[in-house]
Amino acid sequence: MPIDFESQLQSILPVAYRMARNLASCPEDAEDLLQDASIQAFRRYETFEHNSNFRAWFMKILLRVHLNRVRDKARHPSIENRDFEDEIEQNYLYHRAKETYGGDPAKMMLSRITSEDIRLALAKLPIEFRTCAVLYFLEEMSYEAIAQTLDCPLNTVRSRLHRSRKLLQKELWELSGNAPEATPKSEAAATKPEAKRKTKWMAKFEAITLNFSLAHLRFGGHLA
Amino acid sequence: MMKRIKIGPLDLYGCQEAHDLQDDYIDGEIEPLEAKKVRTHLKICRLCANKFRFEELFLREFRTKMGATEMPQYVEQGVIDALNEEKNS
Repeated sequence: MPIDFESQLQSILPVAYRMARNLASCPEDAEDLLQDASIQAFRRYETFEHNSNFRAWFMKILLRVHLNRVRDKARHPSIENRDFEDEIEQNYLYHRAKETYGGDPAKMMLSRITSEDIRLALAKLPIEFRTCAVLYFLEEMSYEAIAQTLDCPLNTVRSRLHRSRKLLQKELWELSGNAPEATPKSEAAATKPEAKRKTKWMAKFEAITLNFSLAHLRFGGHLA
Repeated sequence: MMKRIKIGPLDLYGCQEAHDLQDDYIDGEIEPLEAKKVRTHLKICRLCANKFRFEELFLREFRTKMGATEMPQYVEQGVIDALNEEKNS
């Protein structure tokens, strides 16, 4: 006997809300989106195949409702050809954190990012990017699955995710209050010159190690 | 910056090739042979290895914190009310 619509919906509601909250720019929009998607799903429930995945079916509806709402509301022009984020370097967050903290940037930087920062950063992404980012980061969908869901080429997904990462990292750096003064001055004064000295020394050491590794690989290959 | 080295069967990616494939590698969206070449590069290039490690940790942290969104109690009631309204209309 098929399970009734309400029971199925209730079981996935927290997950659906999470997706709606990350897609929408504010909690009110997320609630509206979830309610609209629930009504649409209820109307189409007869078309749902009961041996298939209700969650995946519902998420597709939610996504479609979201995209329609955004298109209707803002009539967003396509942003594929805009190059505003091209000036953001790759590994943006890594470089900023390394410059500011030295040492282990991951340890110093990543714990400072909050869930709220992430939501705010996502909300600033252009809609096409945000949709891809939510499907990839939250739903952990493959590029192929995202391309199918959004009905766009695989390389478009790849490019949107690549650009989303850059924009998100820049936004998160600004949002998470990682100004240089965030580090106590005494600590900064103590660590920075040392980090510089280390970098110079380590660069020499790395060059030697690299040459050694390459030589090993070359001669190892010939000997084998 | 390490350059690509290709001598006979030996083909080692340089920093630029690894850099270009960084996101695809971290996302597991890369051909096995390419992944192997990136891995080899990371073994011998500490600078790239540090960057890749940071990006992997960033992805993990991002996912964990993004997934930590809790649904407020009233949201469920709002959905039930909207569905009831739809049924009665």
